[in-house]
Amino acid sequence: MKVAIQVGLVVLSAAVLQRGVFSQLGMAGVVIEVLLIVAIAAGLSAGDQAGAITGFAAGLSLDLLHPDGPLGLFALTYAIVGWFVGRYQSSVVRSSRWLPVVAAVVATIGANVLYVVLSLLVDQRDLLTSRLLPVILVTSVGSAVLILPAVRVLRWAWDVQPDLAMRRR
Amino acid sequence: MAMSRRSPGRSRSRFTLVLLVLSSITLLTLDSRSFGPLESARNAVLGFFAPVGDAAESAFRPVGDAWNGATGYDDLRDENEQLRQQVLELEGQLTEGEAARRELEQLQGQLDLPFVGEIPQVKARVVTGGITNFDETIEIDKGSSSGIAVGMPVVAGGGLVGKIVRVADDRSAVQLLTDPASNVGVRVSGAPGIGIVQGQGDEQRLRASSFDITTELAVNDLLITAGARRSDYPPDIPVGRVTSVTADDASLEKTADVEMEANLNDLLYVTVLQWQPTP
Repeated sequence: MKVAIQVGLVVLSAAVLQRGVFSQLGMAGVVIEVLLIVAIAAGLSAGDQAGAITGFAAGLSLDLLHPDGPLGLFALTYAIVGWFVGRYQSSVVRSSRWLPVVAAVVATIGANVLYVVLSLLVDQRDLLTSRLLPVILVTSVGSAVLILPAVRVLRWAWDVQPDLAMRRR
Repeated sequence: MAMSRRSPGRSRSRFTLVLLVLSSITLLTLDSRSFGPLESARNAVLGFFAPVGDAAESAFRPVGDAWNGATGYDDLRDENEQLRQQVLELEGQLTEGEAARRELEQLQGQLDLPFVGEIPQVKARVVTGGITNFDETIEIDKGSSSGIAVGMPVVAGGGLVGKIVRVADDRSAVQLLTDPASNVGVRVSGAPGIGIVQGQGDEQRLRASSFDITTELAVNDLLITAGARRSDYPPDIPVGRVTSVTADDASLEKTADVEMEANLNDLLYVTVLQWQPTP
């Protein structure tokens, strides 16, 4: 119950940040996707199941904030991305200090591409435009910058103690 | 328990993922059928986040302004930013001086749009742009309490901007013409020929198609709403100007690239037309 409240609090805070702050701080019309970073950080810090659950909750929040998109598409995308990140988190987190950053960038690119593909399949909405490249670039940079603090927050939310490999850093 | 701190095993993890995927698909299916409770939930979220978002937006506006100033890369953006500041200042000082009042009236006068005729209008301030990168919407500070309803067209100085897709008490979401899901029936101003304009998910640029190959369509032609029966938009609202034309002899159709008449960069105010399609 405590974990559910903490995760819910993190997701709600991220939604408020996305709505109030990061939607104002665009670069070339592209905004950083905090809720995606939350999903990736959950997978990195607490494993595949936590990544999927947090990703679903974060994506659903974004679906509800997104007034015109199909409800459930971000939830589906982020749940899958969170799960995949968590699947490979043990090897990634323990190998190198910077591999989580690389993993976050790869996951962000994957999430954007997956959303575009699912959008075409589910909603017949073709988002494969010239805007996709700047979106991928800016969101990847945002994920790279914010992933390490986000991992700390999600580790707290999921009540995960740093393992031996993490303590050695 | 689903939220244990350690992975309970691969099969359980896969089961969780399958469950979440099925939940998402269920939501998508219900949403595509405009399931009432989901629509209500989304409208409620729009209203709930309005004050939360506004507070955060006010607190971080200086940061956002500084950021936009640092990352802006053209003069038009800077000019629009200055105008935004000017309008905000004038709003606050309206009662303080006649000079300020006149200036504000001049700015507001730009919103007296000749092409809307006698259709009742609601002026609204744009409070935020898209929340995500795949979100071709804006939020405005008026909602059902001001008589706004889903489907109403939204215009700005130059022409059509989009239509209302979601409404809360004091907040509405506008789907922009640039949304790939947006379709508008158009005709060439002053000439025969009807086509469809679609969004491309790209700032200011639209794509017009389905014009008969005999249609006289040329660069710089103005496209206006056709206003056919059951159309989402009233007739004769400017949509955009043709920038290039392509004729396809195989399909016997002409297509065109179109630049929007309304400037979507840093929209400050819009006008909602209280108009509904003829059933």
